[in-house]
Amino acid sequence: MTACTNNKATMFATTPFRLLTLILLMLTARTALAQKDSLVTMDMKQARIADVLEELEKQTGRRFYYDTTDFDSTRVDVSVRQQSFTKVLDAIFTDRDITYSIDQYHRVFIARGEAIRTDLPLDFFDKKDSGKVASEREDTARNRQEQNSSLQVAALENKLYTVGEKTDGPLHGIVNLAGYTRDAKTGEPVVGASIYIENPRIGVFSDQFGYYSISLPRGRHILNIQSIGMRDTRRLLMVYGDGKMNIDLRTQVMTLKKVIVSAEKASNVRRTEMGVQKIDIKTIKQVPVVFGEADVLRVVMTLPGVKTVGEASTGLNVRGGSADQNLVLFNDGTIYNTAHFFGMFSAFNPEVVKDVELYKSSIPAKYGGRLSSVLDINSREGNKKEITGSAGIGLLTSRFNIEGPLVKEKTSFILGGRTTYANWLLAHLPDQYKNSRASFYDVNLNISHEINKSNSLYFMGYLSQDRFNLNNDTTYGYGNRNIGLKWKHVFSNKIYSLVAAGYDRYQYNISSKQNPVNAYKLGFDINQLYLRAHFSWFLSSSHTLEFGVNTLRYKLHPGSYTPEGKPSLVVPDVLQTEQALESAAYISDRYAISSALSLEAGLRYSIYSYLGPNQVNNYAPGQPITNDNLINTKNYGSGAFIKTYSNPEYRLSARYIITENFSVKAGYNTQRQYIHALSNTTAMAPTDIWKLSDPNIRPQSGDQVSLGLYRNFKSNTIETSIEVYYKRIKNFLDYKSGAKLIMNHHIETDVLQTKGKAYGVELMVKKLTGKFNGWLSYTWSRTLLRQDDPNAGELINNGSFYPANYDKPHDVTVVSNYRFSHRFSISLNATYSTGRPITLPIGIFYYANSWRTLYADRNAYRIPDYFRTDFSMNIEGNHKVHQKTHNSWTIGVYNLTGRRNAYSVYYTSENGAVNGYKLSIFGSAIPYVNFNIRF
Amino acid sequence: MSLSLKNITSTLLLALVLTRCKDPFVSPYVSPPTGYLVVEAFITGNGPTRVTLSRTIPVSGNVKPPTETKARLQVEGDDNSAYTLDELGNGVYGVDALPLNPTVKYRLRIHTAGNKDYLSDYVPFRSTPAIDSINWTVDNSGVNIFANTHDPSNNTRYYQWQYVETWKYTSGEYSNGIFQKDKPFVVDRNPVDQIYYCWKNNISTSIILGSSIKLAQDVISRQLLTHVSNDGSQLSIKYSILVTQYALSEDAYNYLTLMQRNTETLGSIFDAQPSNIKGNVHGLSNPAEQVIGFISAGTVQRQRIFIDRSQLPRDWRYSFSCALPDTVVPLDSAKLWAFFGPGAPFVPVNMHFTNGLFDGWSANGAYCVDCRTQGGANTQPSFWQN
Repeated sequence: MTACTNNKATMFATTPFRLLTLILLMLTARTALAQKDSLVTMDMKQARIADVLEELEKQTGRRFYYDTTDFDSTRVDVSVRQQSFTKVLDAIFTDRDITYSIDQYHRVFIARGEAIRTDLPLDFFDKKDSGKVASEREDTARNRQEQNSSLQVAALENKLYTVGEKTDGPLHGIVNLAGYTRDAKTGEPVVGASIYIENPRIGVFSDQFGYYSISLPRGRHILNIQSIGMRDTRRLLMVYGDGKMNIDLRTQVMTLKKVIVSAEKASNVRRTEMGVQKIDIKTIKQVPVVFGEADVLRVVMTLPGVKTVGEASTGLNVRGGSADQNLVLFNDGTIYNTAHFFGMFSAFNPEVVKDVELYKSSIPAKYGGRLSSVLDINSREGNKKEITGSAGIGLLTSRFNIEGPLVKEKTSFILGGRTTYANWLLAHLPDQYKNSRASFYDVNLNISHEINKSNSLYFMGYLSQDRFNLNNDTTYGYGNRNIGLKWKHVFSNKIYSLVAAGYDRYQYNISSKQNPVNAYKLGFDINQLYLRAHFSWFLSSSHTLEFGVNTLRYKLHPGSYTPEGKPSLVVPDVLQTEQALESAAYISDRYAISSALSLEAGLRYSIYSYLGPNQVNNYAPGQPITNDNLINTKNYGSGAFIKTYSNPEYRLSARYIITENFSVKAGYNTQRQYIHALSNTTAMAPTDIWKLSDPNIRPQSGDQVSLGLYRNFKSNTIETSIEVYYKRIKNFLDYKSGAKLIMNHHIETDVLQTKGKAYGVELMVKKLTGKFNGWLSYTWSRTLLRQDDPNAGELINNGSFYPANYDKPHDVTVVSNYRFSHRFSISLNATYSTGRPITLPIGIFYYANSWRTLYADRNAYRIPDYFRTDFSMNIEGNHKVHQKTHNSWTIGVYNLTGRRNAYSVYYTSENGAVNGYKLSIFGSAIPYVNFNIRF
Repeated sequence: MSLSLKNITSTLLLALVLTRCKDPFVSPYVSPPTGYLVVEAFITGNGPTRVTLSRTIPVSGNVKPPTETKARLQVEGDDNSAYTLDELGNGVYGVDALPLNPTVKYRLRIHTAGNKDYLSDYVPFRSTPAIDSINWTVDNSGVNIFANTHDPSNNTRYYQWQYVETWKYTSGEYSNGIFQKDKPFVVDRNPVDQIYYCWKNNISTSIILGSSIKLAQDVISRQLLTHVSNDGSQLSIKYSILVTQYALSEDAYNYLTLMQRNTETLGSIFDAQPSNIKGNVHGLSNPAEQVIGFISAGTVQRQRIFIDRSQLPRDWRYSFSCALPDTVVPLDSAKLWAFFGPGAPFVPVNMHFTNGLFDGWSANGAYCVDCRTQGGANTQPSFWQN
């Protein structure tokens, strides 16, 4: 049995015949005639199916229903003596892709491809009845059994699959079934599919590889498989022992009027983790964004608890965390700068991305090293069956991707690229911006290879580069480079391992050549090598263990300032290379105490060492870290462990299901962070520097408690949740007034370690199915920082709490989409938030022949509130399956109301006077158009 | 389709042009009372020393700074020397020459009329190297003026510049008549009373700083001082700039850098956030009291250059034009008084003749005829070279 590629499968109302069957089933009130199977004797050569069936009807008295055109050309040889009539049918139809089914009235339905269903699907009326229907249908479905000689690909719903060696004795005990869930069309894994049986209720989710492992009692089961964007399906199982089974799922063909009843899609109610949001690329693509290119991070920003300082920033502030407190993983590689083009675009090519998962509360123990959140961005593995691709053209950017098998069904690749051509546009700007230039590109390459059933290899490569200058001679460039290899090994059904190794780099440089005497180049880079080993052990139906070790080797070049060109008098100045080793071991257990109560407990122990060679300044203990208090400087040799920090981190979450649609969850977790971004700008600037913890700069730490209620309505088509959290942050790095952050040989004297607290309530209502879909999120939150240690140097705002830059108490976002037809949908976004805090002058004074502003407390005021609506229309070309290319248009308007939302408010001295300005990134509605083509 | 795409494109273009728009912002917040003392001083070893005292005021108005009068100021050296400064009015205190010693550190002591005492930190006396040259280049929209300097001993490293621009310009019409109180009320104008040529000054209002700290030699090359636009009167006849160069200490340089960053930001996406700055003047009565200003001491260097119209591109044709045609004012006492008398807005231009007969004065608005209405003075400065 191979994976099912039959396009006709289970579309059971598509031909008149099948429709007739259905009507007959529903309307015929004839009592079933008790019919005893009479034995058949036949001998026909090269006979038409119709003739054979006619003969069978005569001999058995049964009625056959079939579409004669299906079997016109088929000739069969039949030679049987005193056989049961099913044996005859088996003999005829085996190896012919012809199936039959028999209903309770002993009518026989014959079709090509998949068997005709003689009952209504499980969820046809209401799920309440599904159990009953299912138990009835077991008698009527064809019970063909198949030995589990090789890995099964279960493609048929009505076939009974046998798992394990068939035994005759009574069936007791628990066995394990594992395998992959895959997209039947592309062969790519289906992530997050829910796989469950109803009785007893046991369920698991497929992981990032589509892998699932479920422990079941021996016996007969209906295995239900549901996944967003995929058609719900199920498999009939007869489980005798451990076994493997891959499940192919079909993409959901949007049936506009169908109500999708899904018990297990209610993963927000059932998942143990809280504060996890997952969005797939389909949803991302229908959200209107500026310039029309689907943007992963902009969509993440619409989720509750996620904020950003403004339009020109892709920095996420998750539950009061700063932008550097997010671990952004792109296929396991850490991305340090997620912005392209002044933050207008995010670093991720939408054609390559599969989905995005944001952990803002329960961060699994396998992740660590950042305080606020983990943003896990996965790209697709590439079509395993055929070469396909897509391309998109917008006004500022173009993108393409090509994917396909290198070795069919075994090895696939996906290659994506993006570039911009915005310079033509900048050239049209007024004189003051005329000589500005900006461009970027990025390239992705992923290869996945299945060595054999239990070994797979994944390669990922990512490269991005930005370059711009703002109307002067200074050129800025920055980029990410990531390369990684991952090996997945399945030891047994219950245990698999992942070993990943890779290299991540972020670099930037600034250069200026206009004045030959001062011409310079400034460089900065972060390099990290990582090795991670992770094990998942599906211990039993109630315990899933995850454990592993991570190690991360950092090498930072915190700054080099070097001459450019011969006449330059610049003295090369290179800051000491910083090195560190961050390792962690972790273990976590997902424990289903009862069907209602489940617990996930994790422990992560991280050890961080700041490594030599380096020179470290020692300051008088208990005194502010200033140049005046410098005692001595100590030299450490290569490989020396200069300072080691280690700490346990706890990750706990629990879920209790109150009713089927209603659950309550609670969580507590602690985090440590050893690398800090230093910035005195509001937005994450490409020139922000990163600093490793050292003897003078302690690691950041934080903990969070959260509580959430989850309730689904309307047969789980509407998900609602409310989560509250309280978070503490310690040793958050802030800068002193007038700090010099770039090329500072003793940066510890210019920074402060502050405390912070954040708390809030997040509400979400989400409807992801049906004609009208989208979500509404509301967050009320505060983020407050404090520096009240007089020994640390300077008190900020006299040591009282002050709001962080991204403290925006109210934040409401609506993302909505309405599908008029398969080919046309419209999307409307609206977002409102309180203006972010800002430092405004408290007075003015006259100095150096000009009025100048006087500043005092940080962030004591706010910019005007933010409001924006966006609109887009998504127009798909025709949906003929077999044409070479499919195209689609996206036409939209960003900032529909043209509101000039303040990005910042600033005061500047001009010609002696102080003038206040409100700066808006977008001063009007921005229309856009995008053309996409798939091939 | 191509047409509509083009339309969309141009709409987008337009949108982007409007993008990043700046709107005036008036803070809805009320400034808290401040009234901090502001001290601006450069204790000068080779010229007059001037100290200006003022106070901080609320954000709302760019009015005249409240001057701090009747204070007593004293420059003190760490060799126990002390020099009292005189009050020169308008909050300015000073003395024309101080016999300072380059090896001594100096500080400033202030006793205000409000009976509060302030004292600055001791600052080193820093000798400023001579300005090597002030040069300029032409671009599409005007002239860029640069300073060049170096310190052979590699000691100075931190610099500040200030400048005073002076330029000669004209009114629209040359006036040959001048009003006088007695009959015949309008007489021929003496050349010393001319109001066709004026000289106007402009003082640098931005903080111009430069540093050679990252260079192998203490060299400042082509430090941009200002851009002089060719669409104003500056370059219409002759332009002059007097540049004053100051050597700063590292602390003074950092203080001014921060003040510059706080107060002269351009509002770009990545601007640093404003921060609190601390000068080197402290309240003795209340050490926590905020005082604005950073005192420095040393010598200053000056250099003046001229740029003549003839040195500039020929197609720069700025001229003050006045669209109003002349009016003829007959020789009638009442009319002459009404047109040209005190407070009247007209200025006589030329004698008017009808059939060879002097019968009146042609006249035009003061704005067209009197260059002083554009803000300059009609007396040639002593340094001016024609």
